[in-house]
Amino acid sequence: MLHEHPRLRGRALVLFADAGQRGLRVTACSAEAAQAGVRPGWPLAEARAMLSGVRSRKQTGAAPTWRRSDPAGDRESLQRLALDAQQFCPFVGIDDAGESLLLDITGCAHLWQDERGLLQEVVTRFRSQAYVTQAAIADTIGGAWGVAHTLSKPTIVPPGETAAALRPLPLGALRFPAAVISGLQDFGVTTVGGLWDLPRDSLPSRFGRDLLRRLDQATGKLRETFTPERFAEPLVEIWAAEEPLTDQMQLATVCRPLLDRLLAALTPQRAGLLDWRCRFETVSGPVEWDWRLSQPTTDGRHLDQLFRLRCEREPFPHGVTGLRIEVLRVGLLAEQQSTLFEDQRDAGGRDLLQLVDRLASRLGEGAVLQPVFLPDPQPEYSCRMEPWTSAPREHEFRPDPLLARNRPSRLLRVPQSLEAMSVVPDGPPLRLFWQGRRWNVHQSWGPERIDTGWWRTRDVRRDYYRVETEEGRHLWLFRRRDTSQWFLHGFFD
Amino acid sequence: MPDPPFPPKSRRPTPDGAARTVCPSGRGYAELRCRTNYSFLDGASHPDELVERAAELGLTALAITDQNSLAGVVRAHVAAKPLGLKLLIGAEITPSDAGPVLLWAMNREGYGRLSRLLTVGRRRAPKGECHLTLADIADHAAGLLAGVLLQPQQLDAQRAELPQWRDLFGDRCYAVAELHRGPQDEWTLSQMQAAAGSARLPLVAANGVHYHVPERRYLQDVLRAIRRGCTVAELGEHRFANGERSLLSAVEMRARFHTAPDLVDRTQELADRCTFSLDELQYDYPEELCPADETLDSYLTKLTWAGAVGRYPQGIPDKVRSLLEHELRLIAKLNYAAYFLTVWDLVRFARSRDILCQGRGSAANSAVCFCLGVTSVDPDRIDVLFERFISEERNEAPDIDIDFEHERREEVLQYIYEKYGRERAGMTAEVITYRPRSAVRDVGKALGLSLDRVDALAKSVDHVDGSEQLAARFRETGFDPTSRIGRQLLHLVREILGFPRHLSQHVGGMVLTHRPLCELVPIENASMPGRTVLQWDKDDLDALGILKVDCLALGMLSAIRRAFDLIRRQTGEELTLAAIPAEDPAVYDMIQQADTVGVFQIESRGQMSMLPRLKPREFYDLVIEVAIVRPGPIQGDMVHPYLRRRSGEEAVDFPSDAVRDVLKKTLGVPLFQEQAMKLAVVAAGFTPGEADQLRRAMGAWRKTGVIEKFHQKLIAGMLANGYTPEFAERLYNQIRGFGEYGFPESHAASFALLVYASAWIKRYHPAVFLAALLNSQPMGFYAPAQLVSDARKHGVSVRPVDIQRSEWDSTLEHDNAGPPAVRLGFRQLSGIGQEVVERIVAARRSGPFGSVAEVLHRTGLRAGTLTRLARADVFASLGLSRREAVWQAMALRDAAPLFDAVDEEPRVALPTMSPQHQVVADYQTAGLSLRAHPLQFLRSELRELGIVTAADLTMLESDRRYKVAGLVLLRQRPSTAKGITFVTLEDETGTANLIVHQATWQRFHQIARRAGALIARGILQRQDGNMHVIVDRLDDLTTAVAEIGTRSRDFH
Repeated sequence: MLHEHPRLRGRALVLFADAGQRGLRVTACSAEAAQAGVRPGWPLAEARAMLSGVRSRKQTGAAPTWRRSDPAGDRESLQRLALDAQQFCPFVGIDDAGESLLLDITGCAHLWQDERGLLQEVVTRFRSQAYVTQAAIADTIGGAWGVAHTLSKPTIVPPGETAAALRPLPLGALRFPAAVISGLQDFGVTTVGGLWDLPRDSLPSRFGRDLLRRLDQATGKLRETFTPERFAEPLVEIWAAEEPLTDQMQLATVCRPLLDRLLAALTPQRAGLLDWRCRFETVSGPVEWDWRLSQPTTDGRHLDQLFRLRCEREPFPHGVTGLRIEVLRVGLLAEQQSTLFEDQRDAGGRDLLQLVDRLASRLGEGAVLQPVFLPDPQPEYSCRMEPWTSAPREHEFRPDPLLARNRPSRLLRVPQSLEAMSVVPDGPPLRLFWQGRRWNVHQSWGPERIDTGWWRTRDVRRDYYRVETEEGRHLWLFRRRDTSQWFLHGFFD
Repeated sequence: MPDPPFPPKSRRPTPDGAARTVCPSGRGYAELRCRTNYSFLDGASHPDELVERAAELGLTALAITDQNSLAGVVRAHVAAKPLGLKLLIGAEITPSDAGPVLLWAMNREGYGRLSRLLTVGRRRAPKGECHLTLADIADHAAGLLAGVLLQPQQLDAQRAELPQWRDLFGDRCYAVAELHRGPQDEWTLSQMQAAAGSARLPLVAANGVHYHVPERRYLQDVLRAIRRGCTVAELGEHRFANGERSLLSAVEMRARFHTAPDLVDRTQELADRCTFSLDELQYDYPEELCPADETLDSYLTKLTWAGAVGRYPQGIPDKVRSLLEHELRLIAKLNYAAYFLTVWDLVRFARSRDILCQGRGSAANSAVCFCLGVTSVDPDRIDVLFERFISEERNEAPDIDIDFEHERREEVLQYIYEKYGRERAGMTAEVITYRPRSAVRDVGKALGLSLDRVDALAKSVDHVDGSEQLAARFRETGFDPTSRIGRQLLHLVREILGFPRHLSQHVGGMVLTHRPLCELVPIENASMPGRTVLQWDKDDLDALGILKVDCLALGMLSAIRRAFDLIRRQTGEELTLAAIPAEDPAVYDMIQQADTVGVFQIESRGQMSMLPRLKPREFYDLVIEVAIVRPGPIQGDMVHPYLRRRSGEEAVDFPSDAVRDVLKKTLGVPLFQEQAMKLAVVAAGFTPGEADQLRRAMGAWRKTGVIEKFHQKLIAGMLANGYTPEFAERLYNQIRGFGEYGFPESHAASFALLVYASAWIKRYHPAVFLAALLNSQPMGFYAPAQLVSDARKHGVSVRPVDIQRSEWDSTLEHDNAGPPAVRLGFRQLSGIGQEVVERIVAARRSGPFGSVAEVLHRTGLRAGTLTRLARADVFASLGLSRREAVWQAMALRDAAPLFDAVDEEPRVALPTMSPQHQVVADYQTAGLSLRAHPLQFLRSELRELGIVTAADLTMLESDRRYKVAGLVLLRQRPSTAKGITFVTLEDETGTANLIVHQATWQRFHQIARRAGALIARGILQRQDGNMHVIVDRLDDLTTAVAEIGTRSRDFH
């Protein structure tokens, strides 16, 4: 995490997860947070209180950062590191707990002169990436794990001396569950040696069979293996040119087969393309284009069109020497029943979404908007334009039909002040002065009273009237109840 | 719904103002739909605010129609009565198979049906909900008027429903139209008129009132947001678009319904049809209390005299005889015999089950109650003035609370339910209202403040006892109260203070009736299974003269009953509360030395520091002691004057004879609630009723205006009677202090008896006392560890839990002639259930156990339980150390013993446990250790840190800074202490009292609140024989204590 977000360094960082009934709990925290007293397993609220207290006292240091823990992401990061570590030896795996890397260095040490050289290299490599690194070399996986987890200095256990090396170490070196460790500690047994001193046969009935397995794995009595990590195959298509391409048409022709191949790779999974990225290697450096589609697609022609439209909008990269297309996100295709007669409505929806994709590709995502109704009585806030491709809302709000019919077809974003006259102080308007002329009101409906938004700005208190002028224009006016000023807010025609 | 007609027929609408002028004035209007704030988190005005506003606007009547509830009607009734406003009692119900409907009670019968209907719906739904159908309403329709709420959005659906309602209620059915200045009001109204017309239902106007004035709409938005758990900004469609749902005058309503004035007129017709008033509710006592051939009075008289003979076998003293005659006359005159018989019946039941109980309260300390066995305070022993408790002129119900053993009160409650049935018995409600902290929290969240800000603000107002200090407290947390949001928060918090939030159950008030209770008041489910609760609280019941009996739970009664049992088994002596030898000087000596750990009431730090100063010498001193260390006397600054007068440093004087009569017993300082009220009467000319109102007004959060009114009246009255302004002001402040926390003498007397009884047991039977307290936990101020260590200081030998000897409870063991020892019971151990212990005890009857494995085989317990027992070191009598026993227990399996007879294992040499580790293990399993104090093992390290012992403190020079360390015995934050927290630490030499000011507490909040062991640094102060450390720094010692004797458990 720190590796990916350098600006988090030196800050108190707390990861938390939802522990069901026990609420949000801290799962891990940085050294800075631990120094302030935060411990894993704490309720998040207490950690917050503690860190905020520390800050207000010292008035220094950056604000603490709070993140939801991401076990899947952790696993992925560790897998990347495992693959990275294949530069040292061909077989690199991850231990059962999903926390440590296991390297089988059989026959590899000579490449770094000797084991010490290799160990040094591994440690240096990871430390240079700002990882806190603990490492050890031993005869057995269990032995190396134990030494690495208890001694902070990189250590090499000479062949045949694993058992002796483990003897003084605390029980935590043996990959036992916490309950077993504390159970043994209750008997005053705190070291591996202390455990060995107990009659072996008496242990399984008290602490489970697994204890002996771990014990024997550490000493080598029991063989242990691990499954090396392998590269997952990313969905990428690459093309390289001998000579730089400068023609836009050519670029599209190069791109199309790459896209088709990617779509073909997706087909068996019943998946369609959602987000994708083109990376052009050009003479002047790399250029990246990203697309976000409104629905998963397998339509190569559609993608091709999007690509071409984008070329029209943006100065397409000149002197392209290579192209790499990567699938960033896929989505499951909706079940499509192949009927003899295509359902026109469905097709219409699909066409609309394809149109949206094309427009967004041509004009940019911010240019293709749709109106969204909001449940706010104040007219200015009852509707908002949102990018079409943005995530769909969970519950779409539908305004009450009676209300909807009484809202103008055109609403002014900012109400316009105007002069109006009425017979009684809080009655409907009879005459308006607007756009430099006088309008006589033929008839009016109202008032509809809207008092709202007091928490937002100054209290809104308005009486709305729909008026029909003698010329037949239908306007929407309101009078501010506090100042009695008139405003025009919309048009029904 | 058809489209609105656009453009409609060309007609200029009549402007508001014009309508107002043509409105025929003088024609009445009755508001038919009004929600109070007892429609929780929806209605935004108190019932009395609505009533007062309605009267001000000249409404002819106001209907209170809360959602599925009659919880607010009594308050409205009480407010409406002096104003002469007619009140309609009703409710709004939304059946699951139809739209919402208003039901109004026409007469007593209809009211009973409505109440029963709500009970039906509430009883079948989870707490807070009400599930009803059209069929249920049909079953309870008689005597009710119905008003179907027309909803513009659902008119089409409603058209189909309306005939059903008409068939159900006939000419008692109306349709209700509301207009709130929405879009197209006129058109909406015409649609509603058409719908009602086609269903042949008369249409009537209402305004769906949610608040009494438009300015409350902000609060209403906030309440809705709180209810939905969102912010005001997120409310969206759930907020009203405008503030038109306030009470309107007839003129305003006519303007709104200017096209249909008949709708407004019809409200009057409807109101006239409802003649019911809550005054008609008659409370009637259960009648099965006395045998058929007796009247209530004759039966009570008979029982009383029979009881008197039992109480005074040597003959009834003349004083008591004349008291009894006098009291019985008064009871007969005021018709309270049934009440006394009800109380007697409960006490009799409890006694038949060997449940110790004692009455207390205004009427409880009467001679009659003593003879009936309700109390044990001998009227010979204190000066009882019955009239003080039951006054003829006030016609107020006598007040008797009965305390029962805390573990067995449920038996009494279930007896009541069984005897009277769910229909005739119910528990009083407790209205949970907004206090500063909850108000700031909920309003802050609704306004969208961040959670940590809300948290900080809410904490800052923890001990604010009025809304005046709010702004200052906000500022202290760095929140600007003059900012826009700051002003909003302040305003809304002030408004919401005192608002009801939900109903809970009163601690023990039971209402019993002769006729079905559910026709008097709706009954709903409590959150606790098996309990049912009324919708009215004790003030509501008081207002309507409905009597309740408070059945409360008291841990000390459990302990005393157990002590009596143990003493009987030990010596054969049959003790009762009344039979304990009275006025024993040795007991008072002990009390004067504040040697009162475990004694009822006087074991708190405040009480203990008072004892050496007050030096109780007789029973009445205990009554005073119980009442004096209370927020009332402390806030009213009465403690020091009393102490000075008692020690003779200050002269006892009375400004008048009238005052002397009231204050003679307490040396001229009012200490009891009754005295303060009485003073208002004799010195300021209040009527007793006014004095009581004054006390109530003091307790309420809102209505500062009311308090001010009383203040003026009190001062004026006293000046007129010739008292000095200083005396008048002082009395006012004293009454103010009593407002919420006052303690009446009548309660103090009953408590004082328990104080004496428990002190007597502690003095003469310390081992019994310890065992009884341990067996009644949790109760009192101290944890078992402190009770045990106190008993050992008094020479009681305490023995650890043992598999061969212990029972569930702690028991007494008699070796030979010496005093008994206490054998701790298995209940001290955590994680061992009672049924486990019963199996052990049963198996043990056939002979002692020989090994751990044998325990398993003979008891059939699970192996895991054996391990837990072994960890608690209960196998010592088998010659096994804790570790050896655990080692053996761990190998045991639950499986059939035939095949699994454990092979003889080699004996394992386990590392021996250090004494330190033993002590820590004792604390972990039993919460106490008989071996040593954990701090003893840290002493050398602590000494290096410059930490002194608690014993050192008694000899060290005061006003200097020291450090002490210890286990936290108690943290106490009395509401009177202005945010000060009292912490008591215990080390191996004794205890140290800490005073932690709020600022220090905040600074070390985490440690102060969580740590089980502390290092505290501060200035040592001595005062009046008391000693404490004013803390300026706290450090956590918990980990150090837990790790004593073990190496760090962290390995990485």
